[in-house]
Amino acid sequence: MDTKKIIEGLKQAIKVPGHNASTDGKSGDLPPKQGEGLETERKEVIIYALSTCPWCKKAKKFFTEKGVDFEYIEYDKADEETRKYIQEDCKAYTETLGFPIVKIGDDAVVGYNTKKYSSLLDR
Amino acid sequence: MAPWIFTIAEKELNDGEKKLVILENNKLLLLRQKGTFYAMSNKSPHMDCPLSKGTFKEYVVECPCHDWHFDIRNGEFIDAKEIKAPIYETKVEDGNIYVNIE
Amino acid sequence: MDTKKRMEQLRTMFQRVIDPLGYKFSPDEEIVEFLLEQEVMIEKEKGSPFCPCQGLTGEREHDMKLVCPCIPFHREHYDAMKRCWCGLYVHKDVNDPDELFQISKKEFEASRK
Ligand code: FES
Repeated sequence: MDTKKIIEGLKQAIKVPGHNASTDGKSGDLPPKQGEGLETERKEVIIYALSTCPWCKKAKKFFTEKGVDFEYIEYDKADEETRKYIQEDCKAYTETLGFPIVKIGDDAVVGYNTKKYSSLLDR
Repeated sequence: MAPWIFTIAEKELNDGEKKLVILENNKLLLLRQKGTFYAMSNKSPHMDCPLSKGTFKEYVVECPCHDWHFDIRNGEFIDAKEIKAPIYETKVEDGNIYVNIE
Repeated sequence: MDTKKRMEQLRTMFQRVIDPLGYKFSPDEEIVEFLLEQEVMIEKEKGSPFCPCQGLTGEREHDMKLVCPCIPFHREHYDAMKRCWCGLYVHKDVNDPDELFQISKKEFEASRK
């Protein structure tokens, strides 16, 4: 996985006010896949994780089974720049780097909590 | 009767200093602060690192491994007083330091 | 040193630390085994058995508070969850660790106000 590219995409997505997909094809909401046309809007899901954390793997499993597309970025395996970026990106949601940190659209869930994941996905 | 054991001579330990002593396979840390002698187990209650290799200021010794701080007067770990390094009584007689290792 | 052996050593040393704090190893033996193994790997790589579920920053002051068992430095937060962040340790009265959830530090602080 090319983490650098993802992070670049993320940075841009965050800088763009209103997070409008039309400004940049690289980031934001992807066009709906075939067969998913009825869905009103798909939220972008990013899972910040550690390679050593069982709850991160459980979160990954949950989203995979739900059929939701997501980015999965391992903080401990990332380069310095990416780690700094993740720290900054998570500041709004958490004071500690307790993983997983799951961003769903503009919200985030810190920790493994399937109820919270579901309610944010469905909102 | 308490088993008082001779360690070192008083003059071998200056104020504000610490010294490792080995007594019958037991490693103890002797410390001297403001004229009083203190003795505690040399092993950190966390992961057994030698406190003798750490730093010592006022009444606190800092373990070199993970920076846990212990009060030399009662052995308490500063961040959770329920955790204690074993401490031992000391006394000075005829210029020699004795420790009660029970 | 062989991984299994080191896992057992960590278990013995950590049991000594968590007991007076009111915690025990989780009854979920599978999670415990997995986490202890991760800690042994982390210790080999980084020198200390850091928490496998929390990120390091490279600043000694921050990171040393994440060496396992890190309960003393996060006591109120963990007490509120009745578990540590990883779920390696739970309060002694917990029989079903699956009933416990991770609550972010932020939510915990907010709930106290
Ligand atoms: S072994 Fe002393 S602080 Fe960890």
